[in-house]
Amino acid sequence: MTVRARRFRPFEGTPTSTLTRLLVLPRYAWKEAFQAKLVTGAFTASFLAPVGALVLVWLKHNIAALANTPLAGGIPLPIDEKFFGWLLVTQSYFAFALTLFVGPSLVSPDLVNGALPLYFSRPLSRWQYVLGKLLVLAALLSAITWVPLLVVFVLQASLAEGAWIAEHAGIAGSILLGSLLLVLFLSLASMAVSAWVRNRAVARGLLIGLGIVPAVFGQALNGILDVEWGGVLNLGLAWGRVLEGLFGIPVRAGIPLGGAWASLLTATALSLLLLRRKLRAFEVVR
Amino acid sequence: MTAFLELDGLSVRLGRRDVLRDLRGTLAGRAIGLLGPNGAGKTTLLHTLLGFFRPSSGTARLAGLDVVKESREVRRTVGYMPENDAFVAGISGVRYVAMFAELSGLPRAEALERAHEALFSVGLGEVRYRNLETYSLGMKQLAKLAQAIAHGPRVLFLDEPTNGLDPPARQRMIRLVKEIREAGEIRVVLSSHLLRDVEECCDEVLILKDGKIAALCDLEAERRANRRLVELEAAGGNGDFAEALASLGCTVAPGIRRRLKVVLPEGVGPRELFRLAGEKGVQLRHLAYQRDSLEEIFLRAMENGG
Repeated sequence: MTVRARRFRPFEGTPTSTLTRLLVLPRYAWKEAFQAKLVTGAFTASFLAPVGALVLVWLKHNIAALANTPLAGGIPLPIDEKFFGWLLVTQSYFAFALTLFVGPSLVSPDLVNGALPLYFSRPLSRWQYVLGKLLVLAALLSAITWVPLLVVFVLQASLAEGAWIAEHAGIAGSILLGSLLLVLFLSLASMAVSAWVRNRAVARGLLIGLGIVPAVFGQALNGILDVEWGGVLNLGLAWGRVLEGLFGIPVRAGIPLGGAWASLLTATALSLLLLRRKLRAFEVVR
Repeated sequence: MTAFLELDGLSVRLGRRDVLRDLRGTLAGRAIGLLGPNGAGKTTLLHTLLGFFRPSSGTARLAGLDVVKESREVRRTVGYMPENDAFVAGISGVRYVAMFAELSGLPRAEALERAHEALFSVGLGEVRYRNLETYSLGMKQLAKLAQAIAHGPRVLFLDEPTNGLDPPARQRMIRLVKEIREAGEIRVVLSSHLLRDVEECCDEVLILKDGKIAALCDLEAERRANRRLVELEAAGGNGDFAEALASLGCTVAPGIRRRLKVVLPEGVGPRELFRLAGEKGVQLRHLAYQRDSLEEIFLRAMENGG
């Protein structure tokens, strides 16, 4: 049998599961994403800090390896909440960079090229489409945030004494909670913005602007109304305040912790609403 | 033949406009044409059958499935070729077709195999590794057809498949649609405003006007009926010849320019007419089948229907 044979035959086999179909989207998208050297480079570079942290933790517990070096007396850096907090701060910069490269390419090309009717004419709902696309970025960001940080935590826990684990057990939860908030916010915001403007370059600009414009507006509110809560509009500051709450790193954001969480969660919810409005097989002109 | 598409008071309201109004009818053809002027509601009907729009009242059944309650099953059954450009940026033809076959529920290896087959069958085999963005308009139309058939659907929705194609490309598209229909595994629903496309490919037609059914026509039956109606012009004693035709069982009526309109009974064909003319010493100077073309049906529907 050659592939040239003209055959129009129905598929008689068992259809794949919903989960398998859902994973088709990220599988194809990852392949496209990693064809860009910039993405591969940013993704690789984002492992520098976690690898450095792993080496540091190992050396801290293997002082013999530092003999004949200026650090022969030991590494004077405590492995505690703040250590993991700053590590997550570092990773969040890489996560933002990776989002800028990958996020806008997820849905805007499908909208521009009219591909949505093709997706939605399959046994795939709108929300499954969003979830499939979300997985593309969520998996990449997870791979550079909570996954390596938990590996560092596990190494530290396995090398340290029992007292350290008892004292710092909450770190693992903080890593997970903080990272998941970051991953969800960045993924959905980048998809929503690109669905809205339908242009990758403009979406990238807008994502950067999302960190600046509301911050300036919030600053203006603070000045005019003589208040401090205007800072909740500064999403970067809100993220810092969340980390301050989770890891105790000094950010001095000047906004309430609840306000910071509410700010990021509201932005995430608004992104979902925007996606719900924009991702349709066909727009109805009223 | 069993009902394939049943419309049961289907109405669709989009915004403040009633786009489809109380569509009722049953169609059973292997290839159904949706015909109507632009804005008549053809594409909206396809989209409603696909579950993109929810009916404001009524429902429809496609291949025995309720399009509202069993929408997911309907979408598993259907292959859809949209009217407008619909491609995925940055991927090759074969990856495009394979991806949508996988999304339709085919396992990865089978999807890839069928993607190659589908692209060969539509004539894009040699360019299947090229990026979709480099395809010409005609090639993109064919790629859209390939993604619609690759997963082996039981029903194929084609929305204006010959849009923007030059005459040779149009011919190729029509030939492919006919081949798909003749293969007998896939039922075709073809929406078009081009009468020729529908006439060439379909055996049943639903004509829409202003969101309502203007006519429901079994083209096959029309063609069969047309084969029984002939127009004759005889020289040398029409009076006798008309009587002789009546004795054969034909119904004869006078037409214009001394011609006769004759309805042939079963078992009587041109051969018998020529034999009779020979016996009566009559010259047959004109013999043509009556052709009530789709164009005439359409024009009548546009005048009366809606």
